[in-house]
Amino acid sequence: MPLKMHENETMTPRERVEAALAIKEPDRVPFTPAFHCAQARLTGMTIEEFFFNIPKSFEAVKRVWEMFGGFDIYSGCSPILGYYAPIPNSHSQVYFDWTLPKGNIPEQMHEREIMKREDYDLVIQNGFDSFKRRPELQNDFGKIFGEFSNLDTATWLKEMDVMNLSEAFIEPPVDMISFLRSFNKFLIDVVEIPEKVIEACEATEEELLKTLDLQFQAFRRKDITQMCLFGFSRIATNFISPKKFELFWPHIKRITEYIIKNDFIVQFHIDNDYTDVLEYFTEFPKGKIMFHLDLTDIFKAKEILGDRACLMGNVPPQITGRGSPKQVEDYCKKQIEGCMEGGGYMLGSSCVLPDEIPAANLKAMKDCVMKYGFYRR
Amino acid sequence: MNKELVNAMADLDRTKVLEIVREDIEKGTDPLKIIDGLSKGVEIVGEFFEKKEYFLAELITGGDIFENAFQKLKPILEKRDLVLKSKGKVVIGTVQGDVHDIGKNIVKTILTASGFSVEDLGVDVKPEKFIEAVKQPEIKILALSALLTIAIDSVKDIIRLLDRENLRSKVRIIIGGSAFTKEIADKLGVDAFGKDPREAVKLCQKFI
Repeated sequence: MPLKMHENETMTPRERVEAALAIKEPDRVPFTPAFHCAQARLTGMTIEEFFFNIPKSFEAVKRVWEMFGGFDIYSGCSPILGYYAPIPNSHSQVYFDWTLPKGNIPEQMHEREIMKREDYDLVIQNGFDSFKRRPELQNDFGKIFGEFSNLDTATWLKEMDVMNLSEAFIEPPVDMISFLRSFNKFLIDVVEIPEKVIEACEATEEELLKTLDLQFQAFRRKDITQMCLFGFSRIATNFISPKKFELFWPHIKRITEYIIKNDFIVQFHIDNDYTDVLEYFTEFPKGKIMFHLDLTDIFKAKEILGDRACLMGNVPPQITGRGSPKQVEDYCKKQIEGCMEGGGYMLGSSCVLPDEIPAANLKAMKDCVMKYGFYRR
Repeated sequence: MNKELVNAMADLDRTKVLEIVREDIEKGTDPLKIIDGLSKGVEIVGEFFEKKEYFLAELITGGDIFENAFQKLKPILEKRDLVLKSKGKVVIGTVQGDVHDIGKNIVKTILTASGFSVEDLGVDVKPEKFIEAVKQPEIKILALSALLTIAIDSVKDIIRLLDRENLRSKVRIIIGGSAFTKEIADKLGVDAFGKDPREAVKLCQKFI
C-alpha cells in the first residue's frame, strides 16, 4: 500500500517527488532528508555498528521510518559501500586514507598530498590508476555489494511507492584531483598552474564517464524517474573566484550533458557555496537537473534557477543537529514559504542530516512540511 | 622596505619573490627587513581577500609563498642568532573527535605569515593537552578548529577544564571551521568565531 503521511495527501511519495523534479506543484512539498548514520543514534545503535552491520542498518532505517511515519525519499542504509568502491572517488579507500567509524565517531578522511605537482603528467597519460594504494579492497566491494543485494529494499520501496535519492554516482575529475593533491596544494595549483589542472581534468573525464556507463547499465529502468548524483565540493566560490570557476565549467557541463543524455536527472550534490555561479546552470533544460545545496543560498537559487531546476538543502547541521525544535521549525518554515511557489522544491538537509540530530528536530522538520507545505488547490 | 618584494608578494609572483629574496640575501640585507617586506605583502593579500579581489585560493597561495621564502631565510636567522619578533603566541588544534586539519593548517600558515608564533597541537587533540599548553605563561590565545558538529562537545569539555583550572580568564578562545557558527560560539561562551583565516588573524591582533 502506498505510503500516506497526511490525510490531505493526494499523491504517493514518488508522484510527489516526480512532480517537484518536473517543476510542477505536487499536493505538498516533499520531505526528502538525506541520512548518513543518524538512524544509529535514533535507534540506540553506535555509528560503528550501523556502518558495518548492513542488515542491522537496514532494520534501523525501517524502524526510523516507522517512528516518523516515513519520508518522501529513500537515501539508503549503511554508507559502507562507497568506501570500498573500485572507481575513482574521494570516499574510496582504494585511493584514499580513511579511518572508518569507531563507536560514535564517524568515518574521516586523512587528507594529504598523495599526488605531487610533477604527477600531473602521469595523470594526463595514465589516469588515476597509478594512485590505487589498496587495490585489494576492490575484492571486498563485491562481497559488500552482495550483502546490499540481499536486502529486500526494492520490494519495501515499491510497496510504499518511494523512490531512491540517487541510483548512480559520479564525482568530476577535478574533485578527484583536488583530493589527491590535498586541499591547499590544489588551490595553489589553481592559482599558479590552472592550465595544467584543466588539462588533467579533461584527460581523465572519459575514465570517470566509463564508471557511469557501468552504473547506468546495471541500474537504469525505463519506467521510472531516476537521479544520478553528481557531487563536487572543491571548486566552490568560497574557495575560488567565479572567474576561476569558469575555467572548470566546460568540464562540469560535459559531464552533466552526458548524464542527461542517458535519461537520468542530474542531482547536483554541491557542497560549500556556489551562490555566485548559479547563472551557469541556466544552460540546462527544465526538469533535467536538480540541486542538493549545502551553503549555497536556496532563495537566490530559486530566483535564478527556479523555473528549471528542483531545489533542496541549505538547512545547516548547526540548526538541525544543535538547534531547538522551535529553531528548526522557524528555519524550515521560512524556507518552505520562500521556495514552494510553482513547485520545484523539496525540504531536505545541507548535504546529509547530522548523525546527532535529536528525534524532536527531525520531527519538527516533518511537522513543518505538514503544517506549511500543502499547496492550495 | 623593498617595494618590489612587497608588490611581488601581493601579486603572488612566487618566482619573483624568491628571486628578490635570493638577491637580498646575497647583498647581505638584514633578513628581518626581508621578512618585514614579505609580511607587508601578505597583509596586502589579506586586504585583497577582504575586498573579494582574492579568494581563499589566493590567500593560501600567499601564505605558501611566504613559507617558501621564509625557509630560505631561516638558516641565516639561526646562524646569526636573530629572533623574529613575534606579535604573540597562539595555541592551535583540531579538537577531540575530529581529524580534519585543512582549516587549522590554513589558519596556522596565515597567522605565521602575519607575524604570530603558533604552537600546533595537531588533530583529535584531547582537552587535557590544550589545558597543558595554555599553562605556558606567554599563551594568550587558544584557537580551536572542527569540521564535525559532534566535536562541539569537545569545546565544551575544554572550557569546563579551563574553568576548573582557573585558566579561563588567562586566554581568549577563538573557534573556526564548518562545525561552528557565530550563534554556536555565543552559546559555547568562547570569545569569538572566525569565519575565515583572515578574520582569525584580525581576532588574534585584537586579542593580543
